[in-house]
Amino acid sequence: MKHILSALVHNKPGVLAHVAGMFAARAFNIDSLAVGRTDDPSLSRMTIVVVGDDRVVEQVRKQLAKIVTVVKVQDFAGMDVVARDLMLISIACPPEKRPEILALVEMFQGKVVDIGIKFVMVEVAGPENKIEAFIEACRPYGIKNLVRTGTVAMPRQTQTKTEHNTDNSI
Amino acid sequence: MTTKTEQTAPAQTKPGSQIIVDTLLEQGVEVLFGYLGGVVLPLFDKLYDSPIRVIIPRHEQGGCHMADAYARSTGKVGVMIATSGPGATNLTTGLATAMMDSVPIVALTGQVRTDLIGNDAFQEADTTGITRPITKHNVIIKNPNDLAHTIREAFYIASTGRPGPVLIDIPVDMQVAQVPVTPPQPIELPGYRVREHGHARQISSAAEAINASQRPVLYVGGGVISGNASEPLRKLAKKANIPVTMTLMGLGAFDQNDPLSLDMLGMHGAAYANFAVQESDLLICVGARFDDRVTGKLKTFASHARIIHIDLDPSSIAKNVPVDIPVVGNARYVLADLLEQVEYRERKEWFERIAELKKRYPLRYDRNSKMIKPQYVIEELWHQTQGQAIITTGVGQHQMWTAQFYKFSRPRQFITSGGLGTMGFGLPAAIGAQIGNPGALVVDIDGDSSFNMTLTELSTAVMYELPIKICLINNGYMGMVRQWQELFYGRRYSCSSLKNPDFARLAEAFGAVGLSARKKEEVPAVIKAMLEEKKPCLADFYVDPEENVWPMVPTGKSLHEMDGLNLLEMA
Amino acid sequence: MTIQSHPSGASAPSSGFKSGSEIIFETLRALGVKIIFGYPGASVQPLFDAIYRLSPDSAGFVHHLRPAALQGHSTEEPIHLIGTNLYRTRRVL
Repeated sequence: MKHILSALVHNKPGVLAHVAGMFAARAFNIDSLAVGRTDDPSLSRMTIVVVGDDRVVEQVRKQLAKIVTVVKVQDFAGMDVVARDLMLISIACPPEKRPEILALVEMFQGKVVDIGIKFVMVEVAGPENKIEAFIEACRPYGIKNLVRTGTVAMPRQTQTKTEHNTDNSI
Repeated sequence: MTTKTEQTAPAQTKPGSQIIVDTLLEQGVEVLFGYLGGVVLPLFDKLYDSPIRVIIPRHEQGGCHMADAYARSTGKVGVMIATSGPGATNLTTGLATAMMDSVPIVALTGQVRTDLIGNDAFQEADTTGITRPITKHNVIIKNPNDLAHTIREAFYIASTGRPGPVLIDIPVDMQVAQVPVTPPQPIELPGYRVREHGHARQISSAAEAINASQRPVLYVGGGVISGNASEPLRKLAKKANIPVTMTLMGLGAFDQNDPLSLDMLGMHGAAYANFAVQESDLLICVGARFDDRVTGKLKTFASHARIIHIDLDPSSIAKNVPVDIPVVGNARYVLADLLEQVEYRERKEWFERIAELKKRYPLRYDRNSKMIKPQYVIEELWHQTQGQAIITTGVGQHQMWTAQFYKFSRPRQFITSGGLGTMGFGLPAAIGAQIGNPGALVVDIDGDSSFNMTLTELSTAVMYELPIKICLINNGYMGMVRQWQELFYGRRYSCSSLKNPDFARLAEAFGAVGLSARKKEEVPAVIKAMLEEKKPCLADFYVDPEENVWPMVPTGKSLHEMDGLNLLEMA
Repeated sequence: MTIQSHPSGASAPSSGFKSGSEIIFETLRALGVKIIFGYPGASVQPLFDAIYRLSPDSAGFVHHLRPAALQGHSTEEPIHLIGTNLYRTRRVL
């Protein structure tokens, strides 16, 4: 099961290495890790997607919180969150295929950011399932290259009282 | 418009090295351990004029163990200085030892000039990278203005919450740079919060459970000692009438001479302690972590008991076993709060059962053997020291026999590497403990293989005239390895026997006193002579080479499925 | 996937299985390793036992792994080191 953890950390060299090292040492499985500065220049935010059951994730959260340079850790399990992944993908695009590929891009609300004789580079952002769906849709045409940021997430202001908040497709 | 004459006088500046020494003095450091090298020369130059006593080991690992034992035996923060490159890498075992046993150490390592970092410079190593997993926190100084503040933070982090080693890597140009002297800023570490007092409702639930229990056991560990919670523990055990068992790291937290003591539990713990835990209906864990050496097979550990877990570190709670009543807080405060709510219960049947177990499965050995039995040496030492000496050990069989046969009565008396199990810890630890406790009697009960690893530190003991005693349990083997090879590998003693030097003569060559005993009748006199020696003294005891530690919980078995019970059982 | 194992790391001859430590030893031997420096301990027991059983003469060993590492550097043959647990490996590397 995938859990999203959000950690606020000191913006200092070595902190990312420390977190990654802790995960490796304790054999926790990281699915993705995205980190960037916040509006406070002394702090960065890390969004980590961990694979594991509740007990494992509980240990992950506690071990993260134990690191001196980690300020706060939140587990988004069971919460209403907005989760986004951003991808740049280069698709084989001969001129005769161009219209159908561009139609596909529009359906996924993507943006063409580079175009050439052979390939088109598309930027798509959205929840993980949308990104995965777009990749599958592009496969028949031929994918040259792709890069993803990994999931970043923030909780919604109003938490709806549903049993399983797994549908983050908006 | 300001003119030259109106400019304010320049702020007082000092070189970084002086700032470091000043901050150490401000933190109350009276003695530190350190080994020189190129990039720490500026620092040592300032130490030369300071009132801080500097102890030089013969190897940085030894120095780190000395700082560690100094901290364990006094409760203060141990300080170790090493140079860059090999000096720092030589610290890794020492730091890992301190990390696993939660010991407060501040390690200062020199580093090459900031502009050379990452250049494969002479004696350069990625110290912060290498030590990251084995320190509670580490940092490299890139701005000399950060020196004082970082050192203060280091002492704070090392000594608060769950203690641990903190390393500061200081490039040599930072030591030489001129730094303006500024007043100390308050320590601000967002996200580093220590929860000292337990949650009131949790404590009430715990008290209720204790009062209702028929067969409770207090299972205490090193956290009681580092939390200075020994006195509240004693009061609680007495008031509520609960027997107390200790982990290796917890020995000394409760007086083993007290009838409530169940002594040590676990893989080589007393059988009566292990049975008591397995039969208990309430296990009150204080400052311990359900380590694999204690629990045996987790699924069957204390399977009839509800579990209360009192610990300062939230990540320890529910890590290995599900906990019914968790209480996060410092044992000292939590136990004091609990004390007010618990009531005395007679628990007659439970104590009768425990007395029966103690009578049936005592810790014992063959007293009629013609050979010197290692347990005999330790027991005799215990008698002759009235059980009052500070004891350090290496790792292995001799360590287990010490835990079994030297009964400890106060905290910070037993200094041993529990979590990492570092062979070679004994001798430098004895030195560190002696430095921290000048008038005390300090004895290193060591094994021949463990002693071989760091015996060079004999020079340190002689140089500083430290009257430590080394009681060498010499069986010519890596004892614990040999025991496993005997029990599980058909006596195939692969690489576990050693060609040892004549240790007594070796000690004399170092400038210490060397004694030896080869016959059983010689043991009491040799121990007496060793204890009376004013100089550092090593006594080499040739013991039965194939004696085993019993009882033993083999890996994968339950805590009550001990081997060797037939040898211990009194009919 | 069930992992068959015996506490000592020795495999039954007819089982068609080899233990991990036996495979390690045989691979080292096939690669031409003549001398192994090492120090026993709980976590490397099966490996040392495999060496003891499968090698005609026991491996040489030293008291402390650091001198082993230094000796290793002075010959041209590949020298391999075995250490137990975290801290012994650190001493070597």
